[in-house]
Amino acid sequence: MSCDSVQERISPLLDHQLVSAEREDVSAHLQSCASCSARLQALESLRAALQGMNQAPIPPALAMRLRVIASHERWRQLSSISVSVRLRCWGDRAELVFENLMRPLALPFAGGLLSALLLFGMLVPNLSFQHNFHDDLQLAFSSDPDGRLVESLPGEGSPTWLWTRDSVRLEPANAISSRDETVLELTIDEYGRVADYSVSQGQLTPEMQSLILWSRFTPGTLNGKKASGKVSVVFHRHHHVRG
Amino acid sequence: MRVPVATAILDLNPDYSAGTELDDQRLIELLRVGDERAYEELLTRFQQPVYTLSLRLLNDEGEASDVVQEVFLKVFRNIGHFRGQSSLKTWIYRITVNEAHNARRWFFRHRRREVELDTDPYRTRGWREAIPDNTRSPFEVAFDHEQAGIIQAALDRINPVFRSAVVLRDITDLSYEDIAEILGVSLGTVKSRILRGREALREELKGDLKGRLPLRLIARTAE
Repeated sequence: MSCDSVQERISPLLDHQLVSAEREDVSAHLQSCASCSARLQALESLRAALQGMNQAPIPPALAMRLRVIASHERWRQLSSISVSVRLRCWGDRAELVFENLMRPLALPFAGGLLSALLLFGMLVPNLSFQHNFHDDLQLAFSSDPDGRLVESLPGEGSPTWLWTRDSVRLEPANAISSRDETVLELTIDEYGRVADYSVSQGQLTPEMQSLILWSRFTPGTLNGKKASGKVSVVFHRHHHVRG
Repeated sequence: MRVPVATAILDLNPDYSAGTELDDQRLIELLRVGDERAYEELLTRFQQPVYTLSLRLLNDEGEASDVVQEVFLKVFRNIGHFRGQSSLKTWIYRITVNEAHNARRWFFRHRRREVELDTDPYRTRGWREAIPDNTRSPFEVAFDHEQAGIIQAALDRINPVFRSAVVLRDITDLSYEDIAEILGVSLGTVKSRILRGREALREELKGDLKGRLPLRLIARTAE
């Protein structure tokens, strides 16, 4: 057997791929040929070195990734088998999405709700839900004093009469009136009392003086605040103030 | 955030006890019905050899990881079409070799000119380094590592057709028949490729490993 044909058979010899007769021939040649024997040794050591390379440690990240793939593919496989599994798969997926959506919001939401309840509970005793619209002040730029009598003098000796709309009427200051009327121009202070008066027309009677002394008016306002103002009081001459 | 990881994949089905290895046919049947244990079994049995085979064919850990993921994705998705004409092992290895071949082609087309800064991003210690081995000196460990690097580089330089055959035979330790089935060639072609591959590798390594036999260092007390 020539060296060339032996060297071609060294590799199958290592893998036990030669028939017995062929193996014997090659073995006999190898015992007598140093060159072919050296080739055999070289290939044997190469093969041993290669066999030592069969354990490359798998990266942990890859192992984990493979399990994730396996999990996904298993669910895919299950969902393709039956409708009920597919529905359950969708349900699980929806639940997962919902959980992933809600989980980051749960703590801030609970904290916000508790804080709101706490603050609201603290504020409730101080809250007033009754609104007295009668005491609202007119927020117009200014208003004249009102002629409404809001107080009369109590006790004996005080005038028991009051002026009424029929006999007396209030007009804004400088109002035009007819000749048979008595017109008083009153200055009403911020407390509703008459601070000053003047007779613009007609005669001042004792009844009128009593009225000035004992009546209290709703004061006028300026920018929503009580302020002094002027008003004209007109008495009809043919009507007397009634008691 | 919770992700749908196979956390329950280790839950054992009462149909079979722990420790028993399923045969191929049973494993395939269980995979087809989406059994948890079957998926775990498949990964346990094949993830390591598939990764090793990919790494030796590609000599790039990142590329090998991508290939392994693709392989298992294809296995899981096509298990229903697997006819059982070959063994499960050869079928998975055939997918691996094809995927590695595709990845290599893609790599040469697209990423050949890229310069990788981190040459070993997934570097982890191998089991030989992680487990203390009192019989092996640090020199021998370093030598093995260096020798593996030299052989891997030589493997990378030889013809991919021969490389596949040599890796499947000498590293993965498959029979000639299995290799023929995986590569889709005749038995004679396999023999020829292994022979030529080994010779090419020997030529590549000529001089590299010469004189690199491990020295055994003997500790002595100073006199």
